[in-house]
Amino acid sequence: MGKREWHLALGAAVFLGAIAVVYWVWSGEWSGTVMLGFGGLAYGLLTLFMLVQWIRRHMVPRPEDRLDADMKEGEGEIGFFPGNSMWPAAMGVGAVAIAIGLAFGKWFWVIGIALFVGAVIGFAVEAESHL
Amino acid sequence: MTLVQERPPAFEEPEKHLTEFIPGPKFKGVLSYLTSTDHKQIGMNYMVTSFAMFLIAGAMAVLMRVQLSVPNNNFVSLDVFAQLFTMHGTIMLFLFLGPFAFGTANYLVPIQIGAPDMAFPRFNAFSYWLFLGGCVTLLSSFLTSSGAADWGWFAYAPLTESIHSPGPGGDLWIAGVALAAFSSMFTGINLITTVFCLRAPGMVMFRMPIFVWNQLITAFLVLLAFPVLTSALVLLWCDRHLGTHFYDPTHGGQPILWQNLFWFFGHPEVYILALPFFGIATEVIATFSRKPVFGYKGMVFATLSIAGLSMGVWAHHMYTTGAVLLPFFTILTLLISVPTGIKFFNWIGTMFRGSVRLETPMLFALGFLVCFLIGGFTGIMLAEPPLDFQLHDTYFVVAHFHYVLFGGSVFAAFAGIHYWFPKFFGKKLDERLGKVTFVIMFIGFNLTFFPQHDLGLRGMQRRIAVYPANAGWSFLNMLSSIGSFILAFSVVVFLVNVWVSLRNGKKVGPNPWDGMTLEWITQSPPLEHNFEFLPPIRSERPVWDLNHPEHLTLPHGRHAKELARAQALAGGGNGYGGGDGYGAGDGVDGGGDGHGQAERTSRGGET
Repeated sequence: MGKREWHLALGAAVFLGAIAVVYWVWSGEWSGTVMLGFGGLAYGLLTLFMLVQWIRRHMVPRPEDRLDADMKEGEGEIGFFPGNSMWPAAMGVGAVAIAIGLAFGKWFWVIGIALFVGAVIGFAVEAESHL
Repeated sequence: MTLVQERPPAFEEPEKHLTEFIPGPKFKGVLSYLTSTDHKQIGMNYMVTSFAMFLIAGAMAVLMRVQLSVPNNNFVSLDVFAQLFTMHGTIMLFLFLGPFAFGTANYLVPIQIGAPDMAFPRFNAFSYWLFLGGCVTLLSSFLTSSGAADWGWFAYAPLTESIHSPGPGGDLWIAGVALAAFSSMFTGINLITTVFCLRAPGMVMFRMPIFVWNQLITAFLVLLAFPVLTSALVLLWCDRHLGTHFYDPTHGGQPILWQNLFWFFGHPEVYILALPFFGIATEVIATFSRKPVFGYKGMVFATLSIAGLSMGVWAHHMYTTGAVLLPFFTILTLLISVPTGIKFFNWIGTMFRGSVRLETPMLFALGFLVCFLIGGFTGIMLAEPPLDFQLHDTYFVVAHFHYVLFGGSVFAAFAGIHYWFPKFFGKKLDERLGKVTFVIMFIGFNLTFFPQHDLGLRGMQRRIAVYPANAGWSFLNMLSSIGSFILAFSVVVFLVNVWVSLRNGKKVGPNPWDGMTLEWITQSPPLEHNFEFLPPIRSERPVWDLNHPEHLTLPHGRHAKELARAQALAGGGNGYGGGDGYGAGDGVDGGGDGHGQAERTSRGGET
C-alpha cells in the first residue's frame, strides 16, 4: 500500500488518541475515554500493518500511487475474482438462524452454527480448489 | 469458478485488446440471484431491497401522520403508534439509508476506480445476505404476539429491560439490528480494501472521484462506530436473558452507559448516512455544471474533518441528562459546521460560472443543497445547550433531523438514482416525470416538515400519539399531514416513472450526461468485470479528458500553480489550454464576460 493510505489511518489514530486524552483530562468520564482510546489503538494497528507492507515493498510506489503511471504498467494478474458461489447465501442463512435464536431459544443455535460452520468450510474449500 | 482477472488494456487500439474472460458456470433466474458475487448484482440487490424498506417505513410514517392529523384521534392505538415510530426510525436508519449508500458504493466504487470487482466478492455477497436477513428479522417482529419493539429507535435503557419490554419483539429488534450492523462492518472492510488495493494505474488517491473518497471515509467511520453498537446490543441481550445488570439501575447498573455506547455509535451513524450522499451530490453537481469539482482537496479534507469531529460529539444527544461535559461537546459540535460550510462553498463554487443544466438529477441536487442547509442551521441551533434544553425531544428536533436525513440524504439519493439510472439499466428515466417528481417531492417535503419546527417551539413533544384540541397544534399538524400525503404521492410518481421508463425508455449510450468519471466509459449496463479498456488516468476526470481533449482538466493544487507559471514563462499553449481548462466550453467565457459587463453597467448606473 502506498503512503497516502497509511497516512490516512495514522491521521485517524492520532486524532482519536488526542481527543481521548483531552476528553479524559477534561471530563474524567470512563466510557467515552475507553471508546475513543480503543478507536485510536485500532487505527494504530491498521497503520502499523500498512506501514509494514509499505516498507516490505521498499517504499516503491505502485503504479496506482504514481501520477504518471501507464495502464500497461498495471497489466497482468490483479487477483482472483470468484464467479457464482452458493456459500455466501448458505452462510447468511446460518447467521440469520443464529440471530433468530437470540429471540426464540437456543435450539436455533444448533441449526445455525451447524449451517454456518458447514458453509464456511465450503467457502474455504471452494477457494482452495481453485488456487 | 474462480477466474484470474487481467487488467484491461490502455485505451490505444481498443479493438485489439478486448479482454477475454473465463466464464463461470451460468445460472438463470433465482439461482443466479442467490449465487451471484458480481458487485453490480449485489449493489443492485442492496439498492432494491433498501428502497423496498424505504417504502415500508414511509407507509408507517403516513399512518403516523394520519393519527396526528387531528387532535384526540383514534386511528391507531397507542401501542401500535409506539411500534410504528420505533420501526420507522429503525428501518429508515439501519435498513434504508445506510444500505442504500452501500448499494451505490458496491455498484459504483469499483467502476469509478477502474477495478474489476470488489476486493472480496463472496464476502460482499455474504454482507448482502446478512442485511436481507436483518430486514426479514426486523419486519417479522410485527407478527409476534407482543408486537414489534416499541422503545424508540435509540432504545433507551431501562425501558429495554425485559421487565419493561418483555416478549420476543424486542429480541428480534436486537437480532435484526445486529445483523444489519455486521453487514455494514463487512461492507466497510471490503470497501477500504477495494479502494486501497484495486485502483487502476495512475488513479492515485487524490484523483479518485469525491464519491469514492466519501465512501472510503464512511467505511472508516463504520469500522469505528458499528462494533460499539454490536457490543452494546450484546450487553443488552445479556441483560434481557442472562440476568446481568449492565443497564439496570435497580441493581447498580447504569442506564447512562447505554446512552454513551449508543450515541458513540449513533452520531457517527448520522454521518455514515450523510457523507455518501454528499458524494453523490458532488458528482451530480460537477457533471451538470460541466466543471471539475471546485476545491477538490478542500472537499476531501472537509470530509475527513467532518468524519473525525463526528467521533467526538456523541453526547450532544445527551445534554439534558446532566451527566455530560457540555463545553467539550458544544465546541466540537459547533466546529463541524466549519468543514460543512467549506463543502457548501465548494458546491456553489463548482456551479459558479459553469454551464449549469437543470436536468432532473441536478434539480434534486439543488433541492438537497437547500434542504440540507436548513437542517444544518437548525443543527447549529440545537448544538447550543441553552436552546437544546428548551427544544430537546420536541418536534423541532424531529424537523431538524428530517431536514438533514430526508432533505439531505434522500434528495441526494434521488439525484443519484436519476443520474446513474442510465448506467444501471441502459435507459434514461423520463425527464418530464422526473421533474414532476422533484417538484411534488420538494413541496410535499417542506410542507410536511417545516411546520414541525413551529410545533416544536410551541412545545409539542416527539412520539406523542394524541394531543388535546386546545393545545394550539391542530392547524400545523393538519398542514404537516397533508404535506406527508403529497410527499408519498411524489414517491408513487417516481415508481410510475421507473416502470414506464424501464418498459418504454429510449436506449442510451455509455455516456448520456457527458459524465467525467470512469463509469461513463464502459457500456450501460456495464460488462462483466466492468471494462473493455481503460483510458489513461491523468486527472480526477479521465473520461472528460478523453472526450474533450481541447479542455483538459488542470491538475489541482500546487501543480496547477507550477503549471501556470511554466506556461507563463513558455508563452502558454502547451495543451492545457491556458485559462480555458477550467471553463466548460466556449460559451462560458463569453457568458462570464457578459456578466462582468452587466455588473459594471449597473454599478455605473448607481453612481
